[in-house]
Amino acid sequence: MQNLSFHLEEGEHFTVVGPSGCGKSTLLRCLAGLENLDEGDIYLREKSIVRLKPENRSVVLMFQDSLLFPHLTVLENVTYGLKRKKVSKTERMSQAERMLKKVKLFKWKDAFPHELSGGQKQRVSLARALVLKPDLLLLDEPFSSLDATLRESLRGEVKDLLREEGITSLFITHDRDEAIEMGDRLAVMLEGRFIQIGLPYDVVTNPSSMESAKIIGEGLALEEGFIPLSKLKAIPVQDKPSNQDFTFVSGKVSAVTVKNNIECYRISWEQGSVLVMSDGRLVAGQEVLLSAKREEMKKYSHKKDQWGLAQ
Amino acid sequence: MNGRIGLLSNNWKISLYLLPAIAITLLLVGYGTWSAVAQSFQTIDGEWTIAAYAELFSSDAFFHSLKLTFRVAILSTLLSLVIGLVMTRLLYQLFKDSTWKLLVWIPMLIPHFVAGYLVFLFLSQSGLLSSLLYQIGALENRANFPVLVQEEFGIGIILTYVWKEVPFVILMLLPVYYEIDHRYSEVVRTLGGSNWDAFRTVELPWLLPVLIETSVILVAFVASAFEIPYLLGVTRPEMLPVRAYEWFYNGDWSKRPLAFSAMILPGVIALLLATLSIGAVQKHRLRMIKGRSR
Amino acid sequence: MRLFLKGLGKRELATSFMLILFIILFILPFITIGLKSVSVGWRWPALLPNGLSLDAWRSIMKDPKLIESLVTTFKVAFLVVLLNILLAIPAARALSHYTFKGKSIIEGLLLSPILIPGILLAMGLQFTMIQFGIADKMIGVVFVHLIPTLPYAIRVMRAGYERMGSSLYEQASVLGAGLFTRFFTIALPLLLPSIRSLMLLTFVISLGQYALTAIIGGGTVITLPMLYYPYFSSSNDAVIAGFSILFALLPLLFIGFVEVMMRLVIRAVNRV
Repeated sequence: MQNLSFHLEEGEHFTVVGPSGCGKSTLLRCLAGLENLDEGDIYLREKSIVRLKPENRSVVLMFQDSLLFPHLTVLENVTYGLKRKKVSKTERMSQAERMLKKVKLFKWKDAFPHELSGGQKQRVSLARALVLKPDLLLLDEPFSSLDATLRESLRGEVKDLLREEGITSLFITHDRDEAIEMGDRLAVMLEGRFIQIGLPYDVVTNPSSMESAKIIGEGLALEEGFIPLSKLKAIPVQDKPSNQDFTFVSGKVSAVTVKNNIECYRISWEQGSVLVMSDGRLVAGQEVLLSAKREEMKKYSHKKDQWGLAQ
Repeated sequence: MNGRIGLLSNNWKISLYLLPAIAITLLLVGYGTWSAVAQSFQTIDGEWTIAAYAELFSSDAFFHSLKLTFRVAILSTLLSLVIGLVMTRLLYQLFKDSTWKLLVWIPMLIPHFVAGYLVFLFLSQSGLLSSLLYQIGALENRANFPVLVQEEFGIGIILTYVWKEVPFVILMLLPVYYEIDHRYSEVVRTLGGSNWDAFRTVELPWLLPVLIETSVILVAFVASAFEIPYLLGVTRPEMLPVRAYEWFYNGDWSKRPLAFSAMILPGVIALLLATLSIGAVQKHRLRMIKGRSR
Repeated sequence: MRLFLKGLGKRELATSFMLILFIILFILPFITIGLKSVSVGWRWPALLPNGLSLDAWRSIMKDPKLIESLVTTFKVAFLVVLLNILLAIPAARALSHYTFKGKSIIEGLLLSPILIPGILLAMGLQFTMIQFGIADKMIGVVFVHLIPTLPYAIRVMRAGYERMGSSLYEQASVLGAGLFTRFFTIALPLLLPSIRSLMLLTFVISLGQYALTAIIGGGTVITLPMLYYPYFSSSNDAVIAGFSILFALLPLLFIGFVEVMMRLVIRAVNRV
């Protein structure tokens, strides 16, 4: 990580998105206290916590694998942190049961982790963290090991729950849809630094650089600029207009899908693939051009903040 | 060599494979035990009597030896376990590399009495530690150096066993440490647990069976071992194995029943410990397996 | 300096300390006795000897009893290792790859020598062995050395077999390999580390036996340990030190010998 600096509001849900290896996990681990900072400081509620050991920070990290203690029941797992804090037994039980009800796993309180499915385990893991009412909750790609439909349903649940409990959270993912849905604010991370921070919708439709566009932009990330998905169309190669107002990128139809009775086409091009529509009908394998009006291309803003860091 | 033996049913195969080992063990251990027990109940003339046991249990000297023997066994075992555990915990990453593992094997390659000699060399009153302390001015006279070797409490004996057995403990614990998923320690800490909590929740459950097994083995071993106390022990009180040996080789064979009965006691205690611990370990294992998600 | 220490966490410091302790405890003693064995007049409170000399070693080498007992010790140890291999390998195979009724009883039986005092068993067996004429003979000593060695041999081999897994065997038999072929071409190479451990462990245990050898050997079979104890009471420090080093060197010699043998065996097996 290098030259990273940002600020979270209370109750905010902050998402960090970026490719594997960019340092997202390291960021979380440093915030949690599991790794040391060479330089810099971390302030929680205006107090520096950078010297505190992880067990003394009011920061809880939720891991990618649920890592529930295999020899303890679900209830014992959830009350684990409370027990360390020496909360009384009755209090522990009531808090834990309340939380289990919220994640809809109260019936399973006496089960062992190996009896649970992946999604259920993550919910228990969440309950285990939330019951401690941390000042900051860190979530390390908690849904990445689950299948797609489960991910989508859990996303919503988790977001609602975090809002209900009023927890400030930092969520990392490499999935673009998740990034857009989960956070109040979104940061794009690449090679140890944030290259853009902003509201999800803004970041996604107005990437400040080509790198940012590649990671999170919905559309084509070209060197000259960014073309939002909504302005793109796929046309057969032979239909290329001679009009100079358009810009083109060649690609091929890799899949045809139907959404709401409209045919959409997944076009793979040099740097990836996009899902677009077409005026006519296309077939799989067809060579096409992705076209958009030149005026729709957004130039990269290359915004920088007061530290000279890309915003 | 053309696979005909493969036509033998599994049961035959198993019996064949196990037969030699079982036969030898039955012969040596089964018959040996029976013979020993029998001889403990007989006099030199072949009469059956419990005189040997009676004499033993009414002897103060015997009880002193018994106390000494088990005190030495328990202390050696406890120390070896604690030191071995601490070393394993700190160094297990290092031991993945086999050059360091080799170092751990060194005490295992040395016969017990050589280890005893080493302890003698370093820790006796005229030993090297004493010399070192004198040279740096911490000691005036070698008589002031505490008597550690060849004394009543058996400190020298205990230290020798600890030196020899810590590597054994380490080698027994290492596989457990490699199997543990150490991310759980981070989970404990982010949830607010201390280092000690991490140990209790993440490591101890897996260590317990091995620790118990190792301690039974060590206690049984030290209580019945002869070589070191023979080298480093004092005349009164003696550790049981030495005492038994002397009775065995006493001029005529009249003291032999005493020798047998003296050594049967540690044997019985060891077997008792083993049976008790197997029950405890089984229950623990069951609980762990119930909850194990792997 | 402070920056350096700050860079090291508490954990790293503890680890380095342990390491140094390790080295002091396990390596220093041998350097010391090595030194002592070639020293002349090293008395309290000197930290270094007055002079060096090979006298101790000369007197050790010249002692005829020593050469003889060295040979006896090797013969005994060799046979003990051999028997252990022959007994433990099949037993371990049966225990690790099969389940059957009464398995726990058999496991208990085979591990019982760890719990029952060896000295008790030797004393118990002595009379019968005298009657059968194997007491006071090397063969009797070899037998009795099986008591402290066999359980560990089986344990070590069993761990090796379990690591190997039974599926390889099954695969091979499906492919038509007979028992011996299967053993020599598949099991043996994979079990080699375990076999090495077994040989080393067994050798060292046999090497260190005094009581068992004394009781069954009856003073006729003289192994190295039997000479050690009287030497210990004698006052020449350098000689005892030298003798001790000998004991430390023997296992190493044995490993060397074993390695050479293993290379030959493997070469022979590969030719088959």
